[in-house]
Amino acid sequence: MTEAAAILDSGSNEQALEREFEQRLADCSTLAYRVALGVLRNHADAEDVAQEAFVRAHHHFAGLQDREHFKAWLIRTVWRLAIDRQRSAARRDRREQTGFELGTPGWTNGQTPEAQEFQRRLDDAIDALPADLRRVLVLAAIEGYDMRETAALLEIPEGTVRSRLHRARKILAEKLR
Amino acid sequence: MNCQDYQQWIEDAALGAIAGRIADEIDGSRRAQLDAHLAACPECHRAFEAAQKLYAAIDEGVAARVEGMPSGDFAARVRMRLADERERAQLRWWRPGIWIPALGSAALALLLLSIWIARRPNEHRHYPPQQQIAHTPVAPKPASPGSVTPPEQASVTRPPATPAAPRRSRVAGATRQSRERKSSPDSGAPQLQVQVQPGQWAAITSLCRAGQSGKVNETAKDVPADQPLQVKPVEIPPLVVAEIQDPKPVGSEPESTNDQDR
Repeated sequence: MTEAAAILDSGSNEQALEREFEQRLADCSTLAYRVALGVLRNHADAEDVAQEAFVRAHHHFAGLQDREHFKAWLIRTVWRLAIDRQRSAARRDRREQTGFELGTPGWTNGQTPEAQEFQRRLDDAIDALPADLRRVLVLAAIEGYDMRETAALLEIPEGTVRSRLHRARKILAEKLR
Repeated sequence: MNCQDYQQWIEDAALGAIAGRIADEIDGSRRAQLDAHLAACPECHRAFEAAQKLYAAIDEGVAARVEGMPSGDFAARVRMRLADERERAQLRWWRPGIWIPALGSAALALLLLSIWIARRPNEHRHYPPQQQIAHTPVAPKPASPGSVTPPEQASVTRPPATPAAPRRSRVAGATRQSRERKSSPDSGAPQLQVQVQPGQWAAITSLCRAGQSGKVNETAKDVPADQPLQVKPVEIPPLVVAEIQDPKPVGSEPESTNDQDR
C-alpha cells in the first residue's frame, strides 16, 4: 500500500468513526442525560455532565465501537461524573441556589403540596441509598423496570439487579412510612 | 396463621409488583393462601392496599426523577466542546508548563556546547595575540641547512619600510598566509612566500644566495657543493638583567644606570 493510499485509508477510517460517533450520540444522549438527572436532579448540571461524558467517550471511541459496551461505558462514566459533581460542595451550592431561583423541579409541577413533600422525602431517601442500590433503582426506572436491559447496561447478572432493586425499594418504603 | 404472620407475605406481595413487570416474591401456593386471608380480613386487606400504594408512589417518584429530555442543541453542544478540546490540544504547546522546560533544556544544551568548545584540543584553540606569538614559529627560520627552501620554490618578500600594523599581528598574518599558500590545492607547485622581520632581510637574502650557489658565505668557498653545510651551534649568551633603580623625582637630572656612563 502506498503512502498516499494509507493516508486516504486512515482519513476514511476517521470519517467512519466520526459518523459512528454521531449515531451513538443521537441514540444515547437521552439515556445519558436521564442517568445524570437521576443523580443530580438538575437539568443544567445533568446536561453538562452528559456532554462531558460524550466528550470523554469521543476520546476513547476507537475502543468503544461495540454498541452495548459503549452504552455500559457511557452509563458508568455519566454516573461517576454525576456523583463527583454531586459531592462537590461548590457545585451543590450553585445547584441549590439555581433550584431556589427556578422554583420546584419540573416533575412536581401540578402536584399537591402533599405530593411535593412526598417527592422531596423520596429524593432525599434515594440520595441516601448505597451507590449500587441507587444505580440499579435509577437505571431500572429509566429502562421501565426491564430487568434484562438493566442487567445488560450494568453488566451484572439479572438476579443481582432484581435483588438490589427489591432491597432499594424496601429501604425507601421503610423511610417513607 | 394470624394477621401478624401474614404481614411479611403482604410486604413481599406488594414489593414484588413493580408496574406489573416483576413476579411476586411469594410463590403461587402462598399467594393463594394470602389472597384468601385478605378476602376474609379487612384490616390486612387495607394494609396490603396501603403497601401497594406506597410502592407504586415510590416507583412513580423514581420514574419522575429521571423523566426529562435533553435540550434540542445537546448534540451541537457536544460537538462544540469537542472542537474546543481540539483547539486546546493545539495550543497546549504554548502553555508555560511545556515551553519553560523546553527553554531550560535548550539553555542547558547551549551551556554544554560552550563547555565542549572551550575544552577542545589546542590546535583548534584561539589564542589571544600574546600567546599566539609564543606558539607561532617564526616564519623565516633558515638556520637549519637541511630545511632551506629551494630557491625555485621559495620567494622572500621584503617587509614594508614603515610597518603599518603592529609587529605581532604582522607575524601572525605572515604565518597564516604561509600556511594558506602551502595548503592551497590550486597553486600547483608550492610557492613559499614569507615576510621577514626588520633587520633580518640581509641575512635571509644571503642565505637564499647561498642556497643557489651551494655555498654559505665567503669563508666557505673551499667547501664543495656536495658537502653538507656545517653550521656552528648557536651560542646563547647568558641573560644579563640590569638592576632597576627608582626614578628620580620630577625636576631632577636623569641619571644613567650604566657604569660606563658614569
